[in-house]
Amino acid sequence: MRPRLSFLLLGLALLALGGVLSLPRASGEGLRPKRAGSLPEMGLVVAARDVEYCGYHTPCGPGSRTDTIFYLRLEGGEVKGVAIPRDLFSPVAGGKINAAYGRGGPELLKRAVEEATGLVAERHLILTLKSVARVVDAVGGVEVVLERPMRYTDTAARLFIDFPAGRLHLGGEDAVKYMRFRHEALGDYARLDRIKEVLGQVLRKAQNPATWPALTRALGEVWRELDTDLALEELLPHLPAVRGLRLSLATLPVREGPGTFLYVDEEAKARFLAAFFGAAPSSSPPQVAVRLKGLPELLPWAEAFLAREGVRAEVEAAEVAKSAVYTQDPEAGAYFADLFHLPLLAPHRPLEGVVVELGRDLLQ
Amino acid sequence: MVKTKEALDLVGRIKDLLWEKKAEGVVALDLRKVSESLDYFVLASATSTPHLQALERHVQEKLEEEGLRPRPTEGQSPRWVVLDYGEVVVHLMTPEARDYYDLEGFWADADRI
Repeated sequence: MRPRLSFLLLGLALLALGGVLSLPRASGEGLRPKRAGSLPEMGLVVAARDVEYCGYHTPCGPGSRTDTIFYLRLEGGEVKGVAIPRDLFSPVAGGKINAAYGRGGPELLKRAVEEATGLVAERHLILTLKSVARVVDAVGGVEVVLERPMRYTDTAARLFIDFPAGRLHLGGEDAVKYMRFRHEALGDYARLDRIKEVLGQVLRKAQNPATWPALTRALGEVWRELDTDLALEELLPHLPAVRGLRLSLATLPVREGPGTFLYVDEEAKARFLAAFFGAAPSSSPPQVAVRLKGLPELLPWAEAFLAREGVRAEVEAAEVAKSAVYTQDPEAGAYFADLFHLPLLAPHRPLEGVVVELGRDLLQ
Repeated sequence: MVKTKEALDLVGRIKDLLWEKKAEGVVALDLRKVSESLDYFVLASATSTPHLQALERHVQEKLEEEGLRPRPTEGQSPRWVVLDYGEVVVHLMTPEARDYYDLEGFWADADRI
């Protein structure tokens, strides 16, 4: 079989051929094909319920705490998501935001998220760990690269994690473990970064029509056990629209407070939200340090491509599992994510400038 | 780059194979102008689940004789089978699934070939 160019390379090759790169970006936008149909526009709270314990060592199903909370804004061909740390103090919930769902169901959780972000949350989708695993399986699992082995045993939670360092392919159940792991210096922030990474990969794989039958079947099977005001029948016909979706995920800026509570960093939040939701990618390359990291066979091409945009990048050969643009600067990130047609992931861990990671997934 | 001629030959071959087994509503779409990442879809309906499986088997076996294998996909549905031959992706569906997902409607601007 002939090798198929990745959608990135193919897209760029077509752009280059059409001479679009030599045109100002604004005119370039007009040449983009129009897509029929798009996802319904909405602000959506997505959370995953942790496991409940009926007794010591006895997990008995999905619990009332939601350790993973995202606010997602679906608009046109874009999904922008803000991860909300579980230890965030929520005045309406009267405690940590991860308790809001248990105290007042999805309505209170939505209010708590609106209070924290200042954004309107119209709908909710509360997942279980089992449903997440099922969906990850349906897209064929995810690839990760671990710098260090990941080991953790929590007998009570029946959580046994033992992953070696290096490149791993994780099925649904292991991917959930990978996302639940919290025992390291950056704790919950690193966990949110891993969740963003897995979400990015799942969305990317969901863009492949070959995964659609398995995905629709998995969703049909798990939808019953989810707490949501979205009807699957209302969403599934939009599946082809996933094809063109672009994903940006970041973490809400927070600061530490008394005890184990976190508080919204209001000043940083205002700046962050304006840049994250407001700004369209700028028309000229932002003045930031850019690092290209990835497979040796992709680096020269990407370096040359950036040079045509007038950007000089530092280059680093490395094993990369998932291609994405990483930065804490939403505006610069939007520019490079748009340029490379890659998801924008804003990690919580400190990061200088913009890092464009190019992995094997682009060659598949 | 995509070898258009070769991909078009494959589209034609797949359409013939589907007609041989009495597939209904066989349609091929050229998505290159309307999608940044897709090239060709071949869509066809089956009258029943056994018919769907027969279509899948027939296309797969005949193309395998010519040295073409679909990429592995992750678990198929009883209503919708996908054979991924790289530039050409074949969607075999029951009439209900075809109506519901309306891939032709979604890519209504695509050229039919």
